[in-house]
Parts: sequence; structure tokens; C-alpha cells
Amino acid sequence: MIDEEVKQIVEEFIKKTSRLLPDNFETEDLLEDLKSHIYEGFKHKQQIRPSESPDLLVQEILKELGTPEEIAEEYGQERVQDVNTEKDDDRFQYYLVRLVAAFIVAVIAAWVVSSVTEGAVEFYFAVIVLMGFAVIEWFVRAKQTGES
Amino acid sequence: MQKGPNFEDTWRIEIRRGLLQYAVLAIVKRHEEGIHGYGIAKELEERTDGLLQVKEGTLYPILHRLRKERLLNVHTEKSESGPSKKVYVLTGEGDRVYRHLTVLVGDIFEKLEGLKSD
Repeated sequence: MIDEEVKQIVEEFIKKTSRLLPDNFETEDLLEDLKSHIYEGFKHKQQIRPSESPDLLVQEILKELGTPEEIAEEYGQERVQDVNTEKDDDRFQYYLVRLVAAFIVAVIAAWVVSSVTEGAVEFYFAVIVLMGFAVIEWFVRAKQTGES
Repeated sequence: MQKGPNFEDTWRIEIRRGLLQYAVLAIVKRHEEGIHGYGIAKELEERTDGLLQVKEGTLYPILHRLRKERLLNVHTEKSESGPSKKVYVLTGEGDRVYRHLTVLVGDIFEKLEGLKSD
């Protein structure tokens, strides 16, 4: 059984770490891993030293785990290696396909909007607006995932 | 003037980073049924006499990278002590890479031994 005080310490640590990492699915996964590691370590230490204070045990685990800053730094290093190993050709192809797909979707959507409004919304105007939204969405997503 | 880390410390950090990925593959390889992150961290500390010991939290970005490279696979197990835990296993590709790296590491140390002056 894990008491509330321990849970609070763990949550505080996870929150502090999450603030230093990009907001994406990979980070959520990493934070789940860290949380699971802490509870696993806590269980292990409690079995060995059952009379020890839970606070002390959890602090010991957090010390072994490293500071949120150290974890974020390692995460950043791994991401840099990741980006460096990506092939430029693949990246170019990926962006081209994404751009063409966004354009096709914008044209179809603009045609639908223009037809439904019986020409009140001009087709070319709708294409430009929708492409604008696609570009904004692209930037927002790139910022969220830390993509360059 | 602020003094940065000395040459040996920087070199140790760099070489450890590369070897750590290999060591993680080696530990996971030893556990065909799979091993969780906490187990990897403990084994890394015990089996390398602390030489490759790391702050345990910094192991997870490495595990994520190895998963991304498809060298490790993961499945989740329910845990009584908290959130479900991930169990890491070596993929077929991971096994191939591990065997290749083992030969490479052996070769490198053999050649380095030969470089040492008598």
C-alpha cells in the first residue's frame, strides 16, 4: 500500500520533469516509465527495509533516478542523435507528400464549401484560407513535437 | 574563469554513452522472458561494478531510442505497486544488431590492446 504523501512526492517529481520536456506522446510515455520505475523501486526497497520511513525510501529512489534536469538533458541528447541519423532524402519526400496531401484536401474542401454556399464563398478564396489553416496547423504540430 | 570538466571526464561520458546502448541490449538479451526498466538499471549497476552506472532516469530516453530503432519491443504487465510496468524484450533485429556489435566491440578492444606500448 502506498501512502498519499509518497504519491504526492512522485506526482510533484513527474510534474517538474514534464515541464522540461516537449509536450508530445513520447514524453507521456517517458513519464509513465519514470512513474512505474519509482513505484517498482519503492516496492523493492520496502521489501528489503520494511521498517524504514516511506518518505526516506522514495527520496532515495528519486536521488538514484536523477534530477528532472538530468533526465531532460539525456532526452535532448537522444533526440539530437535521432535527428542526425534521419536521411535528408526521406525528410524531403515526407514533407512533399504532406504538402501535396494538404493541398488536395484543401481543394476538395473548398469545392464542397463553394458548392454548398452556391458560390457565396469563392472557390479560390476558400482554397487559400484552408491552405493557410493547414500551414498554421503544421507549425503548431511541429512546435508540439519539437520537430525542426 | 570557470573551469569546465577535464578531458578524462568528457571522454568517459562520451565513451559511456555509446557503450551504454550496447550494455542495455546485452542485459535485455540475457532475459528472454523480458526485463523491466528498474531491473535493467539494477543489473547495469551490479554487473559492471558501477562502471556503467547511470542516473536511472537517464536510462529511459535510451530505451525509447532503442525502441524507435526497433531493436527492443515492449509489452505491459500489471503491477500491484502502481502503474502498469513495461517489459522490454529484444526483437529479431535487436538480436542481429547485438551480435554484430559484440563482434565489433571485441575487434575494437583487440586492436586497442595491440596499440598499447610495451
